[in-house]
Amino acid sequence: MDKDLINDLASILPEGSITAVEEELVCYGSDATRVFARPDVVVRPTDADSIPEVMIVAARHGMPVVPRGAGTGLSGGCVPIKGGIVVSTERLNRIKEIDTIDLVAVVEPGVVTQDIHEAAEAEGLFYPPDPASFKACTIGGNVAENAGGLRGLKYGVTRDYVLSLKVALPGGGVMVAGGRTLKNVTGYDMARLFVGSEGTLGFILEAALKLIPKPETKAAFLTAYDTLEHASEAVVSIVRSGVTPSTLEIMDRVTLDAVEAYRNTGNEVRHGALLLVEVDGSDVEVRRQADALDAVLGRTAPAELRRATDLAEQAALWAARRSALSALARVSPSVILEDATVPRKQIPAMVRAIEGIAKKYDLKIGTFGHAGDGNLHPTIITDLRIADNRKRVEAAVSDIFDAALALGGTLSGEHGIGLAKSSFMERELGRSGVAVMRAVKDAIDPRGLMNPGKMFL
Amino acid sequence: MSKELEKLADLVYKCIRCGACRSVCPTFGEELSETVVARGRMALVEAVIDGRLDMGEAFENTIFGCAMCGACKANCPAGVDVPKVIEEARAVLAKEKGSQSLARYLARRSLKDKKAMDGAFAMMALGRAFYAPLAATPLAKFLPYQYKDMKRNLPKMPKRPLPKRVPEHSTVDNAKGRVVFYAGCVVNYVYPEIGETAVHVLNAAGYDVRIIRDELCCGKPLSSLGEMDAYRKLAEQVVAQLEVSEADAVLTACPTCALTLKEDYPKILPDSKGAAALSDKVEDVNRFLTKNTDILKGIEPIASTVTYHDPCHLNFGMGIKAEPREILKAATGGLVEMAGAEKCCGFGGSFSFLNYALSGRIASKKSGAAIATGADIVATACPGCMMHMRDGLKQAGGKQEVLHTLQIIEKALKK
Repeated sequence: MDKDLINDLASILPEGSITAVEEELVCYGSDATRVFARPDVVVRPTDADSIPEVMIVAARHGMPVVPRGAGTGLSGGCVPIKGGIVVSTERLNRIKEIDTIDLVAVVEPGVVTQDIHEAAEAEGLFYPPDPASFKACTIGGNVAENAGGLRGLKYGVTRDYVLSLKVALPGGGVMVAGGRTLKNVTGYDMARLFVGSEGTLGFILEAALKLIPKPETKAAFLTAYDTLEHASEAVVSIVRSGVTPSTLEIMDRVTLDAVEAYRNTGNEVRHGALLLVEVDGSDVEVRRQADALDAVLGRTAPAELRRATDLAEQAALWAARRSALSALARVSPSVILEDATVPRKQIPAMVRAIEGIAKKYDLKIGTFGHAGDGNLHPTIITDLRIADNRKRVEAAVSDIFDAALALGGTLSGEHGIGLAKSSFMERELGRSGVAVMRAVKDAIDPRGLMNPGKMFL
Repeated sequence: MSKELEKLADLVYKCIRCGACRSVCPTFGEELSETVVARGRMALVEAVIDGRLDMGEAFENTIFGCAMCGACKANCPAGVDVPKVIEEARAVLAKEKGSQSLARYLARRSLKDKKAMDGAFAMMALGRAFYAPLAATPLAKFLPYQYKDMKRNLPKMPKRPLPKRVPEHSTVDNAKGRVVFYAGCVVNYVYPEIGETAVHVLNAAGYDVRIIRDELCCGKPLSSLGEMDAYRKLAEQVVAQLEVSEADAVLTACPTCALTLKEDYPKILPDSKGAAALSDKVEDVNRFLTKNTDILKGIEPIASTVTYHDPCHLNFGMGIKAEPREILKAATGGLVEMAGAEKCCGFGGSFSFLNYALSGRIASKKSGAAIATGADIVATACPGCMMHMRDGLKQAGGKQEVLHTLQIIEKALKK
């Protein structure tokens, strides 16, 4: 271990915030992808102002800096694949401000997303982005990965709520990207550049987030169909009808069986696929939308159509949906979760393509996801410890990407490129697309110290 | 690498590293470090199995630094039995590294039989009386465990344990049935008044109650220190002692005892018919009273308001949340929920003795939430939680009384 590096870090950080104990290194080397790489040192600052100094020390030692939030990511974004300093934000967890007039929340990067939800709601406000891991994941990671969630269709994703970011740059500079006002056209839209940059450009020290008034109420429906394809066609009908659900989720039979086995609600799964649809807004609006939705759903010829009668029942439906990934994980030793996304009118075609790929490679794929915004999560359940499985999985994943791109979609809707998808970047962006990104990277981080080995880097 | 740990591979590999446990783990909530949350602990055990990590001091600390509340298991979407992994890892550490040898020695010796238990608890009472004043002096650093830390308010131990306060059989006329009350060590030796109350309330509900005069410890302190052989031996004795064929139910006022007897015994004694029969009959007293009796019809609510702390082994372990609340709503002037009622109070049995500073910080947060409700009484359904909440509240300047749900029923019983 580099004693000089530790000493230099110790000179700028308080005691107890630096560690190179092997046990700590083991714990800070992976995320929810389970890919592991050992960092050289882990720091857990308690003061965001010390991070630019960490950047200076890192530059002096030529050490990579890998930002890490709660480590709940699904693309290996915080895995220190080239070693270096993992800078964990978990102790930077202060909500600095909830402004009820500007409708802004100012937060440190380590604030848990749910805490932002609760702080906003206490003031009658609403922070919509809700990645499935919202109880554990933190806002710095949400911004860096441009996290989505269940409410994307109506409310958009993290990007749509970032007003400004305070960022520590490689080498120790600090910049503020964007501003506190809704309107702001001074120069390039730098805040958007940092959103989804996966920690490859700078370290987010603080974010100002847009809040909106909290919807008064909501109504939820559950409809069942015989096949996933039938359900995906219903999605198109709903969107075409003019109703904009706040969430529109799909789950196939494989997922439903897994969820039922996990949650044990006693509801036997009888159908091939399920849609969960929710509308929100004012009382009047919800009543009108719910009636319209009821009619549309009726016309999609569902095998079953049910309206959740109370909030507790609605919450139970969403809890079931949120547990989909983990429930699938119980079924077999390995899960490979993809999030290829297509324009929503292509959802039926994408569903067919996934089913074809599952058959072609003889793999079990559970498909669930945010059907309303075209973001599906085909999840391969297998055992990667068997070499032959690994080969078939790799081929299937490549085919899934090709299918999504052929339908005008993207490699990743919300999880990020990270480690697993980097070799596919050029397929979507083309050579010049990647070249421009590389030029941006070189301009901001010429020595390539920020989160190396991720995306196209 | 440890061969013994290898048998945990399948359990540990189930962890998908989703991090859901971060939102519920009490030690993580305080320390904000990945090494003290279930996911980190699973990653460490896996690293040892894979030969990437030796079982060093930091490993030992994180494995013994778990409160075993089970919040992670109850909230784990992937279904990882974290407490089981921790317990087994402790057993391996005990065997291969001699970890916690003093605590294990004391637990083994003290819980061996009834006589040893009587002696040990008498010693503890003496110890408390003798050491507590010393703890204020510079000599404190030579004292073992919690005595190092003067701040901890341990209960004054009564002179007469439960069997010397109530008869073996407490019967009623026209009994509806017969139950065994398994008191557990904390009720027996520290809060025998809860045992007396249990007998009284169960009699009032129309049941004959039997206590076991020479009742043995359920063994949980041994299993949580990794003393598995001694634990198994004790479990066999407890099964033999609790001859249950005549009883409608075996009731406890201690969720940890209930969970151990009900869930754990059949696992560690898979061939024992007695353990299976016992498991079937063991029930938490709150559930029994609300489900099987009309006791709540015979009460008049007291004026005081109350807030409720969910004991981890009752809530996370057995899913019992509603029943104690049903009792409190019926028996008091109102139930005011505290924020985070389901969060661990920090007791965790041996956890609080081995890690008092951390356990005290968890208690301090819990106490703050209880005080903020403004309720007159803090109720819970576990004698261990009571001990820790009383300490925590006292340190936080709270004036509330901490009572067991049974004690509240007794207060509300129509005279």
